[in-house]
Amino acid sequence: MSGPYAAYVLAGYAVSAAALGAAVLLTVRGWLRARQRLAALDAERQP
Amino acid sequence: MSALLLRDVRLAARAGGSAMLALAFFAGVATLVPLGVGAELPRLARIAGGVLWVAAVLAALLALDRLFQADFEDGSLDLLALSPLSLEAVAAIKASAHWLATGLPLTLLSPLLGVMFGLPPRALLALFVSLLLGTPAVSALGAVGAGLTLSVRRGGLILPLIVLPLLAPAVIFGAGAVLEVLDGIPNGALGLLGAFSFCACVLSPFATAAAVRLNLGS
Amino acid sequence: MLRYANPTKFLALSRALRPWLAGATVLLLGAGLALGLRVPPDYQQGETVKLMFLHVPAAWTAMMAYGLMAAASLVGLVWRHPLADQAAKAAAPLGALFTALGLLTGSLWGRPMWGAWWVWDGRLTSFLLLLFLYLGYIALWNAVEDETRAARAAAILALVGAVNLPVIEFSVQWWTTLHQGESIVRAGGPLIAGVYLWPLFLMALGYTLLFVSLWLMRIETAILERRARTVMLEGG
Repeated sequence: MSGPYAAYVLAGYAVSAAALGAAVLLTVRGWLRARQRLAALDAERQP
Repeated sequence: MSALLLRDVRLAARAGGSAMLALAFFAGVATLVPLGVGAELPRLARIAGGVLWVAAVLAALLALDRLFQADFEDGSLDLLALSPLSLEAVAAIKASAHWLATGLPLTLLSPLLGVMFGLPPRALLALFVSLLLGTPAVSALGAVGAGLTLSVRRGGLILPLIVLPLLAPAVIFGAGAVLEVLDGIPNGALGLLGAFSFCACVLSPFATAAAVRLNLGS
Repeated sequence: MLRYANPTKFLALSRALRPWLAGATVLLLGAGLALGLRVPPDYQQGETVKLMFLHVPAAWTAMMAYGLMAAASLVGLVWRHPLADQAAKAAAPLGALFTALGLLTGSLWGRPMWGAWWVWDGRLTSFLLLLFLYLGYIALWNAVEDETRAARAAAILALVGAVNLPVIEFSVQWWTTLHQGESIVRAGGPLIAGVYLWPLFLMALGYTLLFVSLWLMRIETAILERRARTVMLEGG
């Protein structure tokens, strides 16, 4: 990619990738934590 | 029914009540604007419609978070809910009282401020009519926000965030009505504002009543 | 549809769908990017036409998210179903994110095209208002302490917003014609050459599926957290 406006395009793709990547990571992390917590509680309840 | 309206208006109208505060706020904001943007009358006339409309909306929001709060805290809202009056009617009356206490005085004061902003007479009339038509919508939609934030401890803080985007059409059409006269190009702003206001006033009491209801039951 | 209102059935469905959704999202976004980054520069917009593949899908997903949030709110309000409440709640931050992305990419697109980072263009302005609607909704959810009350209050707000959104959209469009006579270069007009249409379509679908995947996962998380809370209460 070249031309005077390439920087804007790259910035757009970088920002979008970063934001969506962060959203995916946060969502998956929240989900994993909730799952682990529930599993731990279940294990505690039935030793 | 009229007793409730009278009581609310009287409460707002007494010295130090919300009506005086809203008026003073409205005039205060309008005074700050020329100090901020410069005092050239042609430029002020150009922005007068928008500035006064924004100031009016903010002034009306100022008194909103108390709309149901006092009655909620002392339990009279529960009594109103039990009375034969439907909660929708109570919501409509409360919004009307709010309009009589803030929207109407603001509208009456607006020509004076308009003169100070250098608006020509026909534009003053447009400003006056647009506020007269549009401020009921501000009260009606504001009442929805007041109902929704009823049980929030500091509801006054999130109320503007909730209500302001909903009021964008009123500000746009209201300021547009003044521009219509200044530019001399018919744009139909008053008709659109009237339609928006009418729909808002008819539909909002139902949303307000639903919001109040969910906060009443324990 | 209502069969999946049962959280257990919903979890099973969501789990079964997950690999397909995730796979399709990756494939679509990959294909969209592969095509989109290779399109020839537009004769008018040059390289910046590539920002369309980010801006338009984000904007479209943000609108769809509000529609889904309002629909879930309606179901939650009418049938008093907690799962619908959670679905509405889970959609809001994602919708706000896509709205913010739409605004950001729109701004990056606008800078070379219009010569300004921000232009009070009808589309950008109404998306800014949409962002405020999302933020108000999220704030209301967080402000009301009791969860059922928060859900119902937020649902009413979402519905009021949904009724008002077309009016806001219309008024902003009307306002743009009032203040600027000339028309601005607009995205998504009817005249898009085929080269641009395919990557746009793939990216839009990819964004949609990405939203759906994340949305389902957030709803699952909410269900799991709720269960954990119940177990805690029973145990304690």
